[in-house]
Amino acid sequence: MIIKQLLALSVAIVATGAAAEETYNIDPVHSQPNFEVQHMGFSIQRGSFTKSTGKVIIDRAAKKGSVDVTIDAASIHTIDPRLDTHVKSPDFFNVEKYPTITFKSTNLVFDGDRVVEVNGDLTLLGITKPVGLKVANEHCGEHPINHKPMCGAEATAMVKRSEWGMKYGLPRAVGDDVRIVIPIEAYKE
Amino acid sequence: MLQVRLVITVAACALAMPALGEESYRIDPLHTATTFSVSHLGISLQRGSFGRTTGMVMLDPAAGKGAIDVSIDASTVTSGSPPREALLKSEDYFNVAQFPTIIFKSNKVRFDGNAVVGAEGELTMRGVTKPCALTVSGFKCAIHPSTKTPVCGAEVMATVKRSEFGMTKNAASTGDDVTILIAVEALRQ
Repeated sequence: MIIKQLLALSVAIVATGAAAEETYNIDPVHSQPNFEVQHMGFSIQRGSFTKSTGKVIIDRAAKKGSVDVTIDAASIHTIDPRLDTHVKSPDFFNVEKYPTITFKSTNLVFDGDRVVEVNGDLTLLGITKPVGLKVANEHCGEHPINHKPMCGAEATAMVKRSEWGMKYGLPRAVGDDVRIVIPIEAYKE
Repeated sequence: MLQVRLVITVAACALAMPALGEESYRIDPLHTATTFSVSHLGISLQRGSFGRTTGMVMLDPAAGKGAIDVSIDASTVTSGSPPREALLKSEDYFNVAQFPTIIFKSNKVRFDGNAVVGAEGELTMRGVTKPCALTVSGFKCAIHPSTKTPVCGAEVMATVKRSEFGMTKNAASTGDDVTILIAVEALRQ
């Protein structure tokens, strides 16, 4: 009898643990990664990737989670088709040889219930290097129109593109420091 | 006699100076990117851009004067999602069929020394003209290392309320305050 009760209790605990873990699927339309880079020291040029998919798992009770995002490198978009062609070429993203960019993390930092940092590995041009994303304004709620539960945030990071072997135009024509800005909206599974 | 001549020469030079100090710059559309961001559902910041921005900038830092005349091709709006782009081009948003051009004009350019730091002007969008103030940072002029022509670059920021231009759709999901960021590069004529 006691054994049965213990079993029931442990099942309940396990169930609670599983319930604390929430899975979110990234909404590609509203989660397009943007980047900013200096051009000739004259201006800050911007671009974005229009296709990315991924999953975020958060366990706020255990303060754990994971992020797994894949970006379609060929979906890179600037303001001009000529620039688009150049950034897709082997000078920059070499999208034919490296069609995807991935970011994976199992190291989420919380401040209370909120995610404030995601430390992971960015794989670009076949090279994997650590990248820390700072996460601002992470919060969850119900979409006012479709009423689905969702979370959103703004993630930013500074990286040096040369670390991934992307060296065209260095040091002056195109800066080495790239600021990444990712708005995130993700629906609860 | 010599003194009179000198005085005349100096006076002539002084008169000539303002004209000499006036410089015209043509905006380089390939490196001038008009981007905008707006809050979505209060949980993320969504971005878009215009592919074609053209115009002229006249600067006379010595006289503290300048003029800006910029046109943005409304139909070049992009946001990384074809359905959303169709929506942005529709009557509910930029109404590009009826109002193909967004115009900013200013005759009041503010300087800090030789650097442009701001401008007050008028923004015309969807046929509505409203005052609009620009904040300019990172203003810098130099000889372009490749083309050997003088170039100025800067980052321009403005905030507008889209409702003031009659763009009132989807107020429940999309913010009214829109931040406009323009990376500008302009070539001296």
